[in-house]
Amino acid sequence: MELRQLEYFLMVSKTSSFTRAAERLYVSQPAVTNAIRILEEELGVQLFDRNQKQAFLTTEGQVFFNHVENIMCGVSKTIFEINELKNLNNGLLTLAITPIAGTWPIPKLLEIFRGKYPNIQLSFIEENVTEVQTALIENKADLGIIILGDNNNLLDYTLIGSQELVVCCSKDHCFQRKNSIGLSELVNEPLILLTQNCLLRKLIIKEFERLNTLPQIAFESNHIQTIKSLVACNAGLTILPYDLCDNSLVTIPLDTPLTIDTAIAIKKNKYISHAAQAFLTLAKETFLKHHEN
Amino acid sequence: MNVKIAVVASGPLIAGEIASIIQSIISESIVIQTYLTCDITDSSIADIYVCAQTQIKSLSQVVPREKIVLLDLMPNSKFFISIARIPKNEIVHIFNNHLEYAAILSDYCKNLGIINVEFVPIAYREMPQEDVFMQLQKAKYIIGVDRFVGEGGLLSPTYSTHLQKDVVIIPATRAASVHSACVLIQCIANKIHCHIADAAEKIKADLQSDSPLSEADLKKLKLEAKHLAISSNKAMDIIQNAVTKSVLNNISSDTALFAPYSNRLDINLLANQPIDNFLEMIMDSNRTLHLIAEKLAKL
Repeated sequence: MELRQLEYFLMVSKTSSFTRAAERLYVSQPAVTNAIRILEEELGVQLFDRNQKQAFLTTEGQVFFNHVENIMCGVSKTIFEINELKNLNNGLLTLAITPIAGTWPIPKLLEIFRGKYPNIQLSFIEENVTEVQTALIENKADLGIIILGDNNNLLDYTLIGSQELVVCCSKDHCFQRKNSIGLSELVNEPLILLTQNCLLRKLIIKEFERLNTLPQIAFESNHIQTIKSLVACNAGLTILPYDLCDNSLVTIPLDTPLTIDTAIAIKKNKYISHAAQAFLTLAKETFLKHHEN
Repeated sequence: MNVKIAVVASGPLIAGEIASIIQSIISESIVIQTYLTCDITDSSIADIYVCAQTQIKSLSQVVPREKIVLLDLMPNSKFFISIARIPKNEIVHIFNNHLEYAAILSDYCKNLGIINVEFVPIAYREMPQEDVFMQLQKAKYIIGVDRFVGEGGLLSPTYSTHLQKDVVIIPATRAASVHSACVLIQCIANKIHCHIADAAEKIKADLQSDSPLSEADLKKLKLEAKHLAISSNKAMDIIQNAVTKSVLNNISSDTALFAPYSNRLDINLLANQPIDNFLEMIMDSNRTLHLIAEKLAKL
């Protein structure tokens, strides 16, 4: 027998439906039906009357429901949490990330997390900030790593780092020897930016708008590598977080520094798995250590 | 595991019942001894003393309160489900030594919604024997704690000759309530946590000693660390499974625990690591044990 069977039984009892219980538990309906069938076999009793459209408790099922509620009263959350600690070395953590996930401290965090919990399988969903937030709300991901600026009321955010934006040009570009540059100097230059619905692009455009101007966008792509390759062959300039630049490009700081804040987003009031909690704790510790140094 | 548990009760029957309940929660790796309350003269024989509500007053005169864990015993779901199947308007006799617990059992049933039958107590220590026999002769359904309705009680020659041939006897297998079991598990987890932390610190101190360590010394320390990692894995298995078992025992006494995962250290992987890393992983795992104890303490 497993605790999960009791969890499923309580949910079917409360919703009077195997389908609705499965939806609320984020599992398939056959998984719930099967778990209840095994529970009934183990107890030697029929818990639900399935002849009607809804799943109603039988007399014995009602007594069992009352007893399980008494047993779990005030302890169920802790019991399930402790039970889940077992899965810390075997679980699956789904992270929803944006194209700029390569910025500090995300690669470092992933490296440390992988070392500490080698058996947790990491799965990534790569989308823009809005889609990442939707994935979290729809429970398609455990945690989201995003840049702040377009916050959603249904989510909680934990700051994990900040990153300075720099202008990137090719080694052949006339700006290559500049020590710093103003946004106004870029107005007549072809820019290569992320696609329209990307938050980083929106933040950059906003800064131009503050100067009552707009940049000339020559190309757009959702792939950082494509943007960098285009810049390297002198097809235009771009603005990126410093960490995403490499030796193939020349980086020039802005006269008035611009920064983006990276945060971990979680759906409000959602039960957080221990694998997700472990990642969040690690991110907070890394951020604190970095600030102390 | 270096944790000693003393189960204390007024009689051997209940002491045996409590000991087997604890055993079913925490497996066989921890030493459990049973004692009569009158035999306990000091608190040095065990780390944790477990008793039922009735013994707490006498025991706390000899053992410090923080070393005592009170275990509440409750019948499991299977017992109540069996009673729920008794036809409406039948009379159900509760066979017990005292009236007080018979009333408690009857209240448990009513609180769970078993209200269509009438409960009649048979308290064999508090009622005249003729009345006990008369009630037994009439009884179609008899319920009670398994040790009272089994061979040592209702089915003994004294009472069994007065039973109807087709009487239905429903024994209550009891389990520790989840709350009280969690208090016990928390105490055990804390003891093991301290033991592992001390042992890890000792190895660490030996590693950092001023005098240089020989190859043989290092080999010995690595072996100690390996044994500690094995103990740590065992402790994690016991504690995590105990929490689940404490719940499942309240459902049915014959539930097999399905526990495919455990938060185990990979001993073979660790054996190839430098001893400092090895110790760090043990201490990390030990922090999880502490985390579990903290969570249980909040219940």
